[in-house]
Formats: sequence, C-alpha cells, structure tokens
Amino acid sequence: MIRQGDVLLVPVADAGTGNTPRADADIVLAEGEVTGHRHFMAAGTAAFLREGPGVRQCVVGGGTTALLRHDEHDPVPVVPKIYDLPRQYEYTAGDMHQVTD
Amino acid sequence: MAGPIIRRPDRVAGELTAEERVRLAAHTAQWIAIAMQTDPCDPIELTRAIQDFYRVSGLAAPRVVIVPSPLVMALAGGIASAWWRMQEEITTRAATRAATRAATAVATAAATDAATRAATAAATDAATDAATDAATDAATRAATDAATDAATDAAIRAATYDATAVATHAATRAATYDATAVATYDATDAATYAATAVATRAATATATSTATSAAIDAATSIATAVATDAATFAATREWLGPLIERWVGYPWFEETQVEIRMWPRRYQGGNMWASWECYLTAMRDVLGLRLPEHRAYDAWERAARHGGFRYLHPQFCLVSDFPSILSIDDRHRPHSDHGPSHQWRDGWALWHWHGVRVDQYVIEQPERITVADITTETNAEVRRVKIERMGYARYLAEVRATVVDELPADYPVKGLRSARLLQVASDPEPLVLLECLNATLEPDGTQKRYLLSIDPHAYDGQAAHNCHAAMASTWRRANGSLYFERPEHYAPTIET
Repeated sequence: MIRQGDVLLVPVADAGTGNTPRADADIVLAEGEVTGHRHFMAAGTAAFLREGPGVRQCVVGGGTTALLRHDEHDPVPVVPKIYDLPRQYEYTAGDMHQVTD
Repeated sequence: MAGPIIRRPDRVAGELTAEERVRLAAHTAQWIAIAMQTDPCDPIELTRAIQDFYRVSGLAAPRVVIVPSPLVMALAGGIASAWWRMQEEITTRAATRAATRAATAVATAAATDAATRAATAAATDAATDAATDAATDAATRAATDAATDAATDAAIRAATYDATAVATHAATRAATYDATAVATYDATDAATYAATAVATRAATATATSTATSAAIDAATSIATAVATDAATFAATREWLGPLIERWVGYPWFEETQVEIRMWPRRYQGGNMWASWECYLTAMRDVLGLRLPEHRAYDAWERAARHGGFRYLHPQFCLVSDFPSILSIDDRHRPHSDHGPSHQWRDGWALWHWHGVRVDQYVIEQPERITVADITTETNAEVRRVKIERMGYARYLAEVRATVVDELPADYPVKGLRSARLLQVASDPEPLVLLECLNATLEPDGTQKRYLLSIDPHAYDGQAAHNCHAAMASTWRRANGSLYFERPEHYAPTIET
C-alpha cells in the first residue's frame, strides 16, 4: 500500500503477464486546484482500468515499475499490480467532500 | 557510450565538452531571464514577429493586438472570436438573399466593415475594463441580471443554433494553431531530433529545457494558466454578461461563453514556454546545428522572446504583455509574503504562498483570517496556509482544541507519527481534527503540519477518539462509503 499525499494505491491483484493496458499520456491520479501540481505516472507505464461509483482502479503492467511523481513529494516506485485508488475525503458540517491540495 | 564528438551543421553527436557545458549554463540563464522578465514588451518587435510567424506558416497576416494580461487575452480572444463568427454568419445569410435586398446587403457590409476595424481592439478594451473590475469588485457586480438575461436569451436562440457551423469554426481555429506550430516549432523539433544523437540530445535537454522548466514553470505557465482558467470560468458566470451584450449581443451569449472557455486549446505560451525554446536554440547556438527549418523557427523564437501567452485566430492574434511583478521563493515557486506574486499592468494579480494560490487578504491582511474562515475552507492546502499565516498556536488557542489522542514519533505508519486528534466544541456536534506531519521533509528538514476534518461517526465513533481510525476514515470510495472495512486495514508501507 502506497500513499503520496492525498493519493493512495492499494494493491488488489497481480497485473498478470499478458498485454496490460498502457496509456499513451501521463495518467493523473490527482491534481491540485491551487498549485497545479499533479500526482502522476508517466505515459506508457500505467493506465486506468475502471472508474465508477464503487471502484476506481489503475494497472501498472508489462513487468516494468512505474514512478509516482509529484512536485512536492518524493517520487515512489510502483511495482506491477492492479491497484484500487480510493479518494481522501473530509467531513465538514455533516457533509463529505474530497480532499484537494 | 556517447561515441565520437561530431559538430556539423547537419549532425550533432558525442558527449558535451566542458566548454559547451559552461555555454549551455549561460544560455539557460538567458532563457530563464526571458521567462521571468517584468519590463513592458516591445510592441514593434512583437508585432513583426507575429506577422512573420503567420506568414511562414502560410497564413495571411493577422491583426496583432497586444493586451495587458493573459486574462484579457482569454476574454477578448473569446469575445472577438464570437464576433468574427457572427459576422461570417451575417455575410453568409446576406449572400443568399434576393437581389431586391441588395441595397440592404451593401449597407450591412459597410457596417460590418466599420465594425470589423474596431472589433478586436474594442473587445480588448472592454475586456480589460472587465478584468480590472474582477480584480477589484467582482463580488459587487450585478450577477443576477446578467444570468437572467443570458438564460432568457439562450432559450430564445436555442432553436436556431447551428452546431455544424460551430464545429466548422472550431476546426478553422484549430487549424490555425496547428499550422503555425507545425510550420515552425514542430518542424524544427523534428529536424533537430533527426540530426542529433540520442546521448547528446539527452544531455542537452537536461542542461537546458529541464533546468529551465524547473526554474520557471511553477511561476509562469502553470500558475498563470491555472489562474486564467479559473478567472475566465468565474468571469463568464458572474460579470461577463454586460460585456457580451455590448459586443456580440445576448443572442450570442452562449457561443461567446464557449469561445472564452476554449482559450486553453488556442493559446501558445510565448516566453512562458521558454524551456522548449531554450533546448532548440541551444542545439543551434551552442552545438552549432544549422538546419533549413531554423529559418521558419526564427519567427516563433522571436515571438517567444518578445511576448507572453498568445491567442491564435485566422483574423487576429492577441498577445499578452509581460507581468510587471513576478516573485518566487528559493524553490522557484510563486511566492510573496507582502503582495502579489504576479501582477500585470492592467491590475490583474495573483497571490501565492510558497506555490499555493490564495486570496489577496491571506497575504496582505493576515489579521483578517478567522477561525470560521479556516473551518469553512474546503481546500486542504489553502487551509494549511491560512493556519500558518494566522499562527498555529493562536489558531489552536482560539478554537480551544483539546487533545483526545496522540501517537508516538516511532508509530509504524509513517504518516501518523506524532499525529494528534483534536476536538473542538461546536454546534451541532464537536469538530474533530486530525493533525499530521507531511511524510516528505522540506528542504530545510522541517515537516509541514496539516489538519484533516474527520467524520466523528465513522467506525462506530472510533474515528472521534483514535488517530488511526480517524485517518482510515478519510479514505472513501467515489460514492462516499468507507474504503477500509476496519481501521487497522489502513497500513501504507510507503509514504511520501
């Protein structure tokens, strides 16, 4: 399990040895509203798998370790796996809202 | 192995020499200075560069309008684009009318011509006024009137709206962007790539574009683009109505809004994208590459040296002047502890605290920051800055926080080391705050502190009394449900 600021990657399955999807652009896991800084993995190293109300997943595949980057955090190597991507929420006045930096 | 050193006009390979590294450092410093300059632009040189730039791209010379800020560029670009589209529609309709209406068509054409001459500059002036207003008294604008007028007008006009025409016009403008970039920058970039060896290219890119980008990006393209985007979005909602009515009329309200919001797809960065120019010109000026493509690139380069963001249209090109203030911290992030980090000559300004964009009062009048202000702030970074500006000790004293849980400095979960769970008396229920230290150290060895507001009911109330449960409760699925079934399942092994 990897945390970088308001991004959490929870490994849930092996990526497998077959052809895994790889995005041709950087995959951005979160982007700061007021800083413009992004938590991202470079194009060709990872891809989103699913995005819905109950699940948000990405895959790091192809046997190559990806690097999770952000301007204000140390980079983190991410080994090939399928990862859940829960979001961080705060509670204000009885309501939940997503944490943004 | 980098292989033999080759320095020919058509081929560059081999390691960088010590002398070249020194020259590359000076070259990079020059482009950083270009990106960070705060003197007014030279309108003659800039206009000439833009006209050449269109010409070498095979396009007719545009009207070149120098505007005082990127915000005005975005607004005036959208309004003027809508105006031009409106004129094209009028012209098309006029051409299909019967000959008996010829006199009317002539009169319309004459009026169109006169209006055309004034349109771009006039729209720019108006947008400047609007931008200045936004910077000073946006909250007092009659937003309701504009929104009501827009909604009424949109309802009337919806039936005649021609989606095909919009798509055609969008394609035309995209073609302008592509034609200029392809003929100049892209062609030179590709030719440079083909004429250079991989190791030389990589070393040069590191010494030039990477170094320049690290020095300028946060303060130039990132901060400015993010702020302009936010400002144009807010502007179209709150105070753009009268401006649109004045220049294109309410029947074109929605189209104009769309045009304005499309600005990020139609701009090029000018001096604010200096890292790319630094690399290509280094290959030419330091390593001696001389390619046929450099001739067309010359106009693009001059446009980058002499101007900021630009908005491209087949008929006109709006170019932003340089800012008058551009202030950064020792990590090259936009920052000022007493005034704007950025200010342009029309008064539009941005305020940043070590890279975090905040409202003016947070920097210039921190005494106005209140506990309520901090409590209702939804952005975690901005909240952290507000607490820092107020003073951490004063904030915790004012909210009369009591510590209900505290973790040791060697707690297994790195991001929870020395964490404290605070409770603040509040109606209708206590406010629960988790105080944590950033897992990544600052360059000076310190750690940023931040607060997260916690759902006290999570995990049957454990989140209100236990730091670990509190942190676990912040991680949710997109539908808001708890991600971890039990708090102890939250156990990151790597945290930065």
